[in-house]
Amino acid sequence: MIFVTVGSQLPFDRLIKTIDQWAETNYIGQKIFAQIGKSGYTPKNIDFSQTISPDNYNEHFTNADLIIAHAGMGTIISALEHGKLLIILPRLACNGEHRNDHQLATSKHFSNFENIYVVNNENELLLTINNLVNQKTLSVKKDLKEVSSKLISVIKQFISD
Amino acid sequence: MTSIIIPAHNEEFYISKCLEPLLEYTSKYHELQIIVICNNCIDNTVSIVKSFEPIVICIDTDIASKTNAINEGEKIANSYPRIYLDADIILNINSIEAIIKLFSNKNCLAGSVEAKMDFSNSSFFVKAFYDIWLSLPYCKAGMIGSGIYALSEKGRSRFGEFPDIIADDGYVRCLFNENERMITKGNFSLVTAPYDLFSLIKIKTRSRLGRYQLKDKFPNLLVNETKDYQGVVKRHLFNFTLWPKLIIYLGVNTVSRLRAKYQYLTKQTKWERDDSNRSKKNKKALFISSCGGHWKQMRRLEPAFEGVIKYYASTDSGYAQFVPNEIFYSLPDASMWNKFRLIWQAVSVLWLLIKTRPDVVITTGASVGFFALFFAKKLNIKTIWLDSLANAENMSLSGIKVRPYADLWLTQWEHLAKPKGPHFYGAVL
Repeated sequence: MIFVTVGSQLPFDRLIKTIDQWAETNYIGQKIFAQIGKSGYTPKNIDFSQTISPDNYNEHFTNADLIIAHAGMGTIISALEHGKLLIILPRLACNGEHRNDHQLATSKHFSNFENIYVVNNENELLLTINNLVNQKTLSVKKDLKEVSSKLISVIKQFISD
Repeated sequence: MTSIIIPAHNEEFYISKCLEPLLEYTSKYHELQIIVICNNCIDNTVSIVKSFEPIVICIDTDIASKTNAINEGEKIANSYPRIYLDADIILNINSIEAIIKLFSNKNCLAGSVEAKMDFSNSSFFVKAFYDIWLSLPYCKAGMIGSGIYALSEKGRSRFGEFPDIIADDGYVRCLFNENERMITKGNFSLVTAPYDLFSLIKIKTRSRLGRYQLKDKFPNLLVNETKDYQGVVKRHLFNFTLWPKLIIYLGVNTVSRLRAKYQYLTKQTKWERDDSNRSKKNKKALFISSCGGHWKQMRRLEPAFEGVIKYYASTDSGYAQFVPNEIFYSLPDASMWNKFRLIWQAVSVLWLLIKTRPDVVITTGASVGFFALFFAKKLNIKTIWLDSLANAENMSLSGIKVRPYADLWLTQWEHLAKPKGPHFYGAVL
């Protein structure tokens, strides 16, 4: 299964449109579910809902073989926690997809993670999806690093002072 | 003999008027041991008091605390009954005699004098307030508001040193039941009523603050106390001519109550910090952030909060299920573009802080986090800001603005750290 999510704050029509079009021509028995936000675009070829409950979100994450999403920290951490392959398409301020281009910066810094594929436009997105779904196995090892122990001890010290 | 203990803080205006009747009494009748403890005075109080030596004993201390001053005075006080007198109260010979005489009754452990207010310098509003206030049974029961109380030796042995509190009179009064407390009839202490409404509110705020503090430090003591406000309002409700006064009375009470509540909350943590070793009470932390990535990052800091009571708050009510065993508060969502929602969110955050009274607030951001630290700082609560990993090239907007309110101001990217903050000690992944 492929799980597509744009987060709870803003819609991301460019991402949803691309996936929907891809599904039309490349539907290969993969079930696709998309959480699309308050989108102006209604997908025709995939299951979707505007929002999903935290419970549902977890369930989709657990069942998915591949996650496709905006470059939101919630999604990135969930993917790392669940040990899932993740494709991220950063939102661009010039398209009105976010207030600023911080998702570009986030993407750049997470692109060196083994399970995270950063794509910069719709074409790269289509290429990467095709590459990944043609692989026999999509399961990967969990890649979540521990919280910095220095950070924890600094906060601990601060609280007890 | 009788000892009189008079703590005085910047009382150059009143102290002579306070001491003169005492001197007259001690020369004509019964010898008094008069001890004035000038605490942290920056006016002429000390030199005025010294001019009355050796009849008056003058102690000068830098510590600005009424109860500490009383304790200092008690170190040299040698007789009973022992009178505790505010330095701005004027007695006359008869009232001094009357309060001492109360103790010829062996059942009297604590005594006081009725108060008479001097309104000659007070505004109409102040008089209106006291017309209602003085009719309170609480007020008529004595010891509070008259600026003087006295204890027999047996009464004094009921407690050790005076505790560090604002309302020493309230504390002492609570230690005795109605049969042990007595009040002189027909003799008065003269209390100068405040000049204007604001001074009145200040006095009432302090008095209420004293009660909050008393309730907090000695919760079991207040059983000797009853305060029947509703009865007063009911009694005066059908007397239409009293309505204007009643409105003033209720208005002053409401304002001073709010001010006291605010001061109580802001000082509360200070008291807790002062005697943090007294109780091994668990600390309380509020985890607050918007939903999504901020929430996920924030929760990864939980290992630092072992043994701390955790409250959670976020902008999605569904998140309660992520913390099934903890207390969760849902907050209104808002974005920078909707000012009305933002204000509503800010008010909700403030209310949450007042309700939960945490020792520390931690956030990874967005507007709820900003508001939380903004108000927490004003409420004297420790604050931690950990900027989201999402902000890899610049600190977030709220992250920059929150700087003055963040005790611990952190980024998760080493290249964004600066010597004066934000600091970098690692990331949550």
